[in-house]
Amino acid sequence: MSLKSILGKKAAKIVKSGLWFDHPISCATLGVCSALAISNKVENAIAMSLGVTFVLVLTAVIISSLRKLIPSRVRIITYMITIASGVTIVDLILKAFFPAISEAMGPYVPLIITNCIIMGRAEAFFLQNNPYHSVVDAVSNGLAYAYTLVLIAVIREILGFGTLLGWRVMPEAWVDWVVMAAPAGAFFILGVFLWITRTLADVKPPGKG
Amino acid sequence: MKERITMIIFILVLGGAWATTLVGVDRWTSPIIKKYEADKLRKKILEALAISYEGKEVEQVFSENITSEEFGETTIYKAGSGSVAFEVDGPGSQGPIRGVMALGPDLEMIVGITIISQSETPGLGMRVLAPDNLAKFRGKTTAPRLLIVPSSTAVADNEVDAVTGATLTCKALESIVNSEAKSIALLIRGDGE
Repeated sequence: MSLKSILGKKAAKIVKSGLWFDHPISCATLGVCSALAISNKVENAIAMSLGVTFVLVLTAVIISSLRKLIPSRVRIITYMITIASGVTIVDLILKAFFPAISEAMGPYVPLIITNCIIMGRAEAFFLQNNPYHSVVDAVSNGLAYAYTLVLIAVIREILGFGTLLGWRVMPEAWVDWVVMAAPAGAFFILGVFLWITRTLADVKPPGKG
Repeated sequence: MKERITMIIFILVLGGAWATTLVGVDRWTSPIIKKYEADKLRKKILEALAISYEGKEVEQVFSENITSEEFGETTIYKAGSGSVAFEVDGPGSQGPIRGVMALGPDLEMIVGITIISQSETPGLGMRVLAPDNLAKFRGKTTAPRLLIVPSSTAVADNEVDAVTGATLTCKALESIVNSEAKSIALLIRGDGE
């Protein structure tokens, strides 16, 4: 069974573009701030990705259901209220039920509000498409964000802490690369990631396409 | 005109709906969050006083072992052994450091230091505040002043080895420990007035 037969032709296309051809981080360079900040440990990367995906899906459902009602002059306010409320719910639930993760992520949970992937998808996609396609788009973009964050986090956690999900994987003699645990390490890894994915996806620099 | 009214009504309705949802979620989660925070402080106080709560209800262990006493705005937690614990805070190299410090009955010997929150550099400053490093402070004295000295040169009772590469955090911790120990001694003994 192919993706097309399960989801429908348009939805299959949305999944492919979200996960690869219009990857939010590597192609649109959105959401880079949190990708740099939260990718030092795999555990945090997973929690952050879940948070972002949840808010994305919530925004998709609400914005696409209301897309015919939203007066175009107040559409940005509508996104902001929806995203901010979703993020506050995520923040409170993490604090109540997963306090350790909430503490590790610190101010980055409330900062999901400013994650441009959510705003970007709301403006570019949810406002023009029906709830089904919007949710498919939200999940694809959330997954794209998640696999990028987890990939960077795996490399950074192994090199910077010698562990993977908290388990020791490097030999005792391993000297942690402090730079990998610090934000600077994320820049190196993200740079290499962008280089590889952009080469593979054949993204042309602006002005040369 | 009609367009503007629709716009205002739309925003008010949407805002109202979200506000109601948020109030609901807050009502549901806030008691759980408060309980967690209170338990966390109790755990940190017990840890600083080296009282084990392993496998027991923290609240119960706390009420059996600790009596609290208010000194103005500061709360002092007393253990049966005569040791006292209190909350400490001060500036770190990246942001505030909050923790609990416990002193012996003489108000000079350090019984333990635990950290509640901090935002030091991972891999550098964070190592200074890790429990295994803080254990080095146990039994050291703050009289006349606790000193953090270059790695492997600590000899005297008031000297602790520094963590190489984390000078700023070491300095910050040193000044928090000294100033808080002094002010608590003043507070409890009431001298210096």
